[in-house]
Amino acid sequence: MSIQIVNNYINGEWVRSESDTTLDVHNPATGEVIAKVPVSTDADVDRAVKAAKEAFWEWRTTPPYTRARAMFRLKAVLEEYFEDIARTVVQENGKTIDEARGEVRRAIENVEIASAIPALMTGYNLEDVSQGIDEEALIQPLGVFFCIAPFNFPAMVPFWFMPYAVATGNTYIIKPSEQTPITQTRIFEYLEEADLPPGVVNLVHGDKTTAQALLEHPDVVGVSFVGSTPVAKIVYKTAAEYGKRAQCQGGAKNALVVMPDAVMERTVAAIITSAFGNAGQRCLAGSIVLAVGDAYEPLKEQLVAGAAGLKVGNGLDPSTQMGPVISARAKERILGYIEQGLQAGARLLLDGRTVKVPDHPNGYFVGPTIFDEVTPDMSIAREEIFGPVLSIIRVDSFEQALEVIDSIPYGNAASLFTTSGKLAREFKYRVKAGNIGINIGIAAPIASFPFAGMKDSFFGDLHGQGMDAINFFTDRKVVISRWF
Amino acid sequence: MQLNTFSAILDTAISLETALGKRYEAASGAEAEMLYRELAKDGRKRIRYLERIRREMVTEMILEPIRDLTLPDALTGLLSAEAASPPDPAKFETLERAMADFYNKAAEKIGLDEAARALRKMAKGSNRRAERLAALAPG
Repeated sequence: MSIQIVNNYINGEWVRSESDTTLDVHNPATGEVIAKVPVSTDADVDRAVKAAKEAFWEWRTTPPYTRARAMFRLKAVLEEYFEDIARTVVQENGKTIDEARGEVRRAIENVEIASAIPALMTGYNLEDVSQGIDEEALIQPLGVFFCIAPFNFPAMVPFWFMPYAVATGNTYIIKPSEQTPITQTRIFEYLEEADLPPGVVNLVHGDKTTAQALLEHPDVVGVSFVGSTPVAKIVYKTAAEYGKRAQCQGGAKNALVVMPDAVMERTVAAIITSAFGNAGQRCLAGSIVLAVGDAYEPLKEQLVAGAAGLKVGNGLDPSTQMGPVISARAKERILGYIEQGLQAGARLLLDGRTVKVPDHPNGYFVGPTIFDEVTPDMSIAREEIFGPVLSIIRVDSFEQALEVIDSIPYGNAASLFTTSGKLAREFKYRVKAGNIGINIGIAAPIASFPFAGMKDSFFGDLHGQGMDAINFFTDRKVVISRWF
Repeated sequence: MQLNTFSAILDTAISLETALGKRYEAASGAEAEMLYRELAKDGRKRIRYLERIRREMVTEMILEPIRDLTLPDALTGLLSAEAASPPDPAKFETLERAMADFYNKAAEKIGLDEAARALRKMAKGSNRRAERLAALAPG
């Protein structure tokens, strides 16, 4: 059976990349190659940017109500093909069908918010700023934007940006992860039914060389990036060098603080979902538990019992509660971290290295793994593992927990489990993390809120989703007028 | 069968409704054919409703593991290929009551208020269907 090479979608047409270089796309549950993705060339990129640039003026002058209707059509198409998109996510990413459906729902929610664009991008004015002089601020789109998307949410992450960019009158290029290019390819096949004008949305596959070509292209005005912190820094710097707008979401090391007064059963369930959902491959995954005082013993015991009971397997089986990690390389890296933890003196309470999944001998599975006796200076407590590995750090007080969080270079998310309103307020007031959970394990902002991030987890000022996205994709022009 | 996730519950519910619908459809020639046809038609609406719940109420933020919910024995046979015996309103009534019971139990476990409400609504529907079938039963 021949393996399909995914195509680019440029100017309303499916086109084969000029590149001779392709990369394999694997099903992480089976290890099989399910597609090949081209490493699109500078010429492919130029073609996409040219198409997006040519489409810009006509689209920019299209009334916002008409653009909103395109969003309604896009929503309808995504609802119609919801199951197929979710199953594609499972096949190329490995997550569970529950998680994939949740992800597609999140993508659609962003389209729903963007469809309110006639109300969301209105400007403002003030009469008589001086004698007979009026002033107004116009909100205008800018041109061609693109995103560099990660593998872990192949359906959702591009939708943190694209619907807002397009609804505000810009044109757009999505560069999916080379590890998960099929989901967006499917979405674009369906998106044709939404009947957007050619060039308004484009899809270009490739790796970092393709991303670099997009980033350096003179006709691109801005970039949205989601990935690791080292790459986020490079993208941010390069964008600045080339005079482009940038919003760059980096890595994370999210702490979950558990107070002795927490409702333990619910807390444990939330932590397990946070740490092991998506096989730990999300930037909002909890990867450190800071167990305060007497919370330690019951928490440790229940966490191990709960995590050990998770069913690991192929995400297409609806009873699977944790799927594989994305690749053999990722698995190797995660196993390396587990080894580092052991060498540093941490105690392995639950060892996911030996997990066996019946009928899936070649899948990239790592079972839920829990370390105890972890100290804040260990690499497993400081570095992003991006896998199902949870480290328990015992602390004496709430203040000490906050000190540990402060010492982590990342600031994506942090959660507190407590029944104390006072501590909850202190936590959300003081902790430097963009997304705070109070008795929530995955503090994932819904579409009308920005997907925030601080410290080394975010570079830029305006985030994806909601009004932040609308502001990122538009400029303000002030007009001061007087009539003689 | 362990029903330990949101999708496991909703997928199973859809499979059960589909299987039940097929049995109503296959019951042509039976005395209660009109009612079976209506129930099959209503069943297709119920499946669409469940599909919408599965699409819209999956809340990634709180997809926590579900414990202690299994497919009741009374319904396991429904998922097998063919009905062993000819259609009988009393048997269908028993199945509908078992479906109602399953929906009510699943509503308690699913952990999302909106989804629980939808499942309870399904349970009410199953009970109403069971009452219509009971009215056909002799005596």
